[in-house]
Amino acid sequence: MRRLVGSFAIALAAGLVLGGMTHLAIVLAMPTLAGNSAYDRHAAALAPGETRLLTEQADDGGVPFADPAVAMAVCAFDITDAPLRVSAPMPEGFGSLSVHGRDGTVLYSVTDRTAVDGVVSLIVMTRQQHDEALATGRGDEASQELRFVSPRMQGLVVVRALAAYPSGLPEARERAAAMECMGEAD
Amino acid sequence: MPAILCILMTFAIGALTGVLSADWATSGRPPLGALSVGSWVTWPALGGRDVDPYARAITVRSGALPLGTGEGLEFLAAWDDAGRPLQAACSYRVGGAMPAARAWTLTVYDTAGRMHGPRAGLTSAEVLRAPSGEAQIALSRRVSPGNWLPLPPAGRFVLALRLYDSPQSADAAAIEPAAMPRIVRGDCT
Repeated sequence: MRRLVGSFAIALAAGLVLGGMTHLAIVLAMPTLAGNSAYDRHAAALAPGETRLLTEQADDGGVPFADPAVAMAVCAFDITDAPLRVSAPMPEGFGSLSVHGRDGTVLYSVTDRTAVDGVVSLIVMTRQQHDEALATGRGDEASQELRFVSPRMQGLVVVRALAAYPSGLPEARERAAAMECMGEAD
Repeated sequence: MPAILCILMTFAIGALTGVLSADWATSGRPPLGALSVGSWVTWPALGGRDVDPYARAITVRSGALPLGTGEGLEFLAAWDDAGRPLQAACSYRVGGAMPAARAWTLTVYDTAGRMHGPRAGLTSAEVLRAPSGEAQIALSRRVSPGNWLPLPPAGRFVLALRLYDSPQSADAAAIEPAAMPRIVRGDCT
């Protein structure tokens, strides 16, 4: 009897240790395993350079807990080969731009205060692409653009346009959808 | 007990506890890094790069696109100021002070993050204000004069207050509870 209880206790203890390891492994692997992430849902449906407007409702591919007063549009990027050039026209009220990694991390975010002539221009590039751009002397002419050295190769660029009144929502949607994402062909 | 049974039991316990606890920890709201200001809660690390693995797993699993630190600050409330859960069967008044921001929006969701009806939120531009500049917003299922947001037909609900372009977003911990709007429960049906 005592041996039975002893072996049961050992199995339980070992099981819990194994459970803890499984728990950690699942949590850490979630960004690569989850098929429901914003990147997975949108990147698959988007052609390179295409901008898509998001609907606010949580079903049909929308975003849960989205702000109904804010029009959101996304484009997917993969900067392995070439940097991404984003130009997002900002609405009259409030607008912002953010870069999300494939693993759900917000890498970079700015508001329309950084806009020049109502347009936020952003280049998402790798460290190496950034260094090459500096070396070839293209750094001076492009001073009106924001440069973001991304630690992730793939992700989403999200633009938000706030409509102060419900009647302004169609215009905010139009502005958000007007974001252009282009792979920079060298 | 034969050794093979012991090993099988170990693996069964490991798989069960590991999967269930991981599922529990990565659904709902991030378990770590919450900052409570009055009855409002925010997760400041969600909008930046130094997000913890649990919050990242939750973001990825829910498909959410969190607001970046440079864009603004998002607060959620599931309880009123007296610590009672927000119920759609009751009426509420939300108002008082607002932290500094270029614009704010107040939105009503059900617990799954869905909106009900075409009028789920108000923005700072469209609310009616008292001469002091304060806005009082009524939340109820019945129509109410002034600033009114309808509640879902039944169950609990969640309020979201988003501060866009707020100087506070870099240091959310500095917001005093008195600077946030109060959530006061009225009568329940």
